Amino acid sequence: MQRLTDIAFIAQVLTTGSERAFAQLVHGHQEAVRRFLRRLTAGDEMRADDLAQETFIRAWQAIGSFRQLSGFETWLLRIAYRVFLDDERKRKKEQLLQTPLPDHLEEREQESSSFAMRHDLDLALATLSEAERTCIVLQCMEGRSMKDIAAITAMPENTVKSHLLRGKKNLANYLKRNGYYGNV
Amino acid sequence: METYKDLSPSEEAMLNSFFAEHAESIADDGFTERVLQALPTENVRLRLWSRSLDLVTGAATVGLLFYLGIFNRLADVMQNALLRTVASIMAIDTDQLLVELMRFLHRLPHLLPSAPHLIGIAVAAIVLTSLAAYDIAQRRTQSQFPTW
Repeated sequence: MQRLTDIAFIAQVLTTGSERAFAQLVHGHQEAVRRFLRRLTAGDEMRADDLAQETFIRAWQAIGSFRQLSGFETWLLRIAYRVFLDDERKRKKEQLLQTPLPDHLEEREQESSSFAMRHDLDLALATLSEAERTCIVLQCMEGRSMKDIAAITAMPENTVKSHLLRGKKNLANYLKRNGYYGNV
Repeated sequence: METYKDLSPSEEAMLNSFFAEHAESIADDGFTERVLQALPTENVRLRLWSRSLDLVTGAATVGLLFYLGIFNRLADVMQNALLRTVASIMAIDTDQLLVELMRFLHRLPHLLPSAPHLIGIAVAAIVLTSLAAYDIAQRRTQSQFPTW
């Protein structure tokens, strides 16, 4: 149903250039895109929202190239991932990232010994490599299939599978080390 | 080197529980509005108008060429040239070849299109070239984005 609604709005954007129809698409998919980018940026909400905005602007400019072979959200997440990688490269060039943990996470760590829920999540994800984190967020938080993850990250499915396995193992070890056993 | 086996059921359950506890919903909170305000001014509608204008201009040029009879003229010229070439090849003879060449050169001014026709051809060439250049530029822009 969502797919049909998306196609109707996309057709409207393509035929009439309707910003209102595009607004419906943004509204319908902002949550997935922003959540994905928040996890990739280790919870940096401002940076994630800037990247999400850039993602939708690129989608607006390139909507004519959307071919409906995959869902609109998968297409958006792929753009979002590229936007994130471009930004990472730019930041690394400018040598803004000198430490393994982003500054804002370290500040939070100093602020309180009992981390808020989301901080926990971001600290746990920060222990993974970028590829592992991306695959795990897409599967465990966004419920994406292996095929979708491969399409979004432009990695072969086998590579995705091994990133997922390694990432989950590392994450499980990290959680156990920090006394988390969940409801098991 | 560390090898990774499948997760144990308890580890799998622990991760599922961890992610379920940390599920997050994000309200729009004016995000859509901010995106709309940040959209570039050169929008899809403008591009559609530009493309439509190109198509109208192209169609008008083709119509003009028909009106001026350029296509018929070109067809005649090509047909004549082809017939003469075939005939010359079939009965190739140096003297005959020279005579045909002289005859062709003599008739050339009558075969060439007149000034208004040349203007029509020039306009058509410019429009078609600009259409091709526009398409190439569009494809280059679109190739920077995933297409599937």
